[in-house]
Amino acid sequence: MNPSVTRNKWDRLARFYRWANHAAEKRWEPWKRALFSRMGSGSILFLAIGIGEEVRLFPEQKRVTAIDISPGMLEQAQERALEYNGDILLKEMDAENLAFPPETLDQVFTSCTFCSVPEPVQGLKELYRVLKPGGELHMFEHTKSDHFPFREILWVMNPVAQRVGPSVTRDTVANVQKAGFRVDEVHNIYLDIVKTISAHKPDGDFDGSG
Amino acid sequence: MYFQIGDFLSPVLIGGMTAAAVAAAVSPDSSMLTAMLTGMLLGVAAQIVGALLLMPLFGAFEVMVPAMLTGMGAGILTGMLAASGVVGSAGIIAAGVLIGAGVFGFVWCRNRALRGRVL
Repeated sequence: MNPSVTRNKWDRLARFYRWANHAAEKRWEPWKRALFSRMGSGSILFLAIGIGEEVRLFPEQKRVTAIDISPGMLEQAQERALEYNGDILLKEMDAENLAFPPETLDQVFTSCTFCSVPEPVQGLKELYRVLKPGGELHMFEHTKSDHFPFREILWVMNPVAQRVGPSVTRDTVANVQKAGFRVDEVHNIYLDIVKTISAHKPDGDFDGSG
Repeated sequence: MYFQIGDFLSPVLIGGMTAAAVAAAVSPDSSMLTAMLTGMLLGVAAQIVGALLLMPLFGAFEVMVPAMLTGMGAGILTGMLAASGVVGSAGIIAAGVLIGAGVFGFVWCRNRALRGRVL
């Protein structure tokens, strides 16, 4: 998909994103806070910062590069980034085409990102490329369900959901593995749909074609 | 507590809305198939409207998933009930509310079983 299509879609959503997602953000806050508490002292990339709603959940005194494809979202994130007690560098960037040299980052965090990246495995391979060997990937994502009737409900919802926002039938755990990561932990938060995934880039070569 | 109340109220309201629409649209003269299809369509409409109104208050998937189950289920079942002519409008609406409460219970139990660390 042309990145400008994705950019325009999220620019349009930026106007009412906070209103629409306020309750969901509040609900998921404890799990997101726990996930972000894994931020270490190395170089951290936060993928798809959106309007910066999660910045207040970051541990203090971290150095985070936060990217988003949508200038509209980044504009709103600016204020929250300035309020953060630490360093956040905001950049407009496409997750499928990261402007970082290979093996330069220690950790990558995502939050409801890979439901929206048009080519998720390509995006995850980019993360694999820029992470150092042993580097960590921590994700808060919603995915497909493997259980009746939730699997079927998401399948029915998906054509409309994809038009107005994210896909709801992504197999993100499998996509993480396809990109070459070793999955260390999966924690279901709501049914088997909303979950946290922790993985790492193994030491040694992997061509990421799996 | 706020979200737990919302989790219960959302499917109950959508079940009630669906059943009220079915009670108004489906007469006891309707064929069972027509009543089921009409009920299903009304249920889909109610779940979309209900989810859009309730999601900013109570969450995303926690509203959407029960809303879809309730809308379709309550639409079909109350459609059949309306076509049978066994109960009046109040009975049909009560059935919709009960279906919503049943969906809440089902999703709550499934969530208890599925959540937690799986790897």
